[in-house]
Amino acid sequence: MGNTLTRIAVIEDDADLNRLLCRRLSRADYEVHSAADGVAGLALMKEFPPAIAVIDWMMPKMSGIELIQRVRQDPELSGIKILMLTARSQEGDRIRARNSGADDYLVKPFAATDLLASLQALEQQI
Amino acid sequence: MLTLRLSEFVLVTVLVCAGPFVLALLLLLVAVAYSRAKARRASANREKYLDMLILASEGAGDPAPARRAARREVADLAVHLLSNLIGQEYRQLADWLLRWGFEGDAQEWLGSRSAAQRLRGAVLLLLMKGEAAMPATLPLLADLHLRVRSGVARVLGYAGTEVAVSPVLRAIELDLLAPSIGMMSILRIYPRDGAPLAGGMRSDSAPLRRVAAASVGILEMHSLREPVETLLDDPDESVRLAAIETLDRLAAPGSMALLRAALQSADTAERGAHELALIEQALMSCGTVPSEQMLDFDEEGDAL
Repeated sequence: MGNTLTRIAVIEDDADLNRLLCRRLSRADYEVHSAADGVAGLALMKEFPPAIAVIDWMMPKMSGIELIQRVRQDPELSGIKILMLTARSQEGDRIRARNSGADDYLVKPFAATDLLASLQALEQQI
Repeated sequence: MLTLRLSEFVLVTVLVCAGPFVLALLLLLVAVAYSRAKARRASANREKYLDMLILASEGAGDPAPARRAARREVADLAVHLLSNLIGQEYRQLADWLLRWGFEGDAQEWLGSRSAAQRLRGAVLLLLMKGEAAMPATLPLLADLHLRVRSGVARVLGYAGTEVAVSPVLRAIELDLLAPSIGMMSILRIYPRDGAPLAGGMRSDSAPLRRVAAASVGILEMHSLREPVETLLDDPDESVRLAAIETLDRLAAPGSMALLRAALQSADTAERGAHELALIEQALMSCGTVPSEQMLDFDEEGDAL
């Protein structure tokens, strides 16, 4: 499979959802690393730079928006493709996510098939 | 006769005095160790149940535990997962819960004296069975406990259907439900039948008229424009504001005359700058009013 070596960082503060995402992505043959907040997520991405980061919007310590901005400002991380996850579905939220530097946006609740399709589309951009 | 040397006397005195303290310390250490072990066990169980439910959402899954406490924990985790899933995974997890008898648990919990238990039962039943669960769960919109009423309304928002709209509106009318929670539920249900909202706009309850008027705008129910227009003269300011905002959202040219009249009427001065500004915005949305015909506002927001 072409995506066997693709490394993904899952940064999601909801422990149950984090576990669910990691399991789904592992089963889809991705190499998955996870963190539970924005600060830990940034450290994780520096230690294991992923090809794609799946980042929740609302998180303690550092929001997803702030994390994405930090990633985009960091020359070593700025090339990471970012999929933002959020329960916020208003048009203004989508625009804000895009403006912050997210490459794609998935609204919770979502189907695993939608998640995998979004990741595959991002992989093709790498 | 027993005689003690001074050093022995001091040692015995210290031991006797410190005894209760040492005992309390030991008990504290035992309690801490016990609670840590309990927390570790709870955490391990939680992970085990979570993995079981994730597997179930993938179409596999072990049998559900039989212990009542464990089933409550599984139910809570399942509710959390179901709230984050849609599509095939959602259906497979709901089917697994039904297969392992959680419908019976939920029905039993619905009749519990504990408010938390009733809410758990209602939410689980709605998430597992959707519309089929509404006859059993809609009565909980009149539950004695606000948290139960609000929780059921929230879940009806994503597991309910149009059948739930009238009961939710009724709960707002009877002041059983916060208007914001009831409105969120209605918007998520996304009803296409305007009759319940039209009825809501005729209610004696100002919060319900406001919710109904605002919902019509967000749901873009153009067929309900006329009932909304009648609310431009509502005695309640918040209802008038909702009506204006809705006409703005509907961008209804047919409402222009009414809006313009509201803008120029004598009592608009008493209505406040916010309302006037909204009327202006609504008229602009209709797209045919030149800006020079609009009222201007000074820095305080008063009409000039």
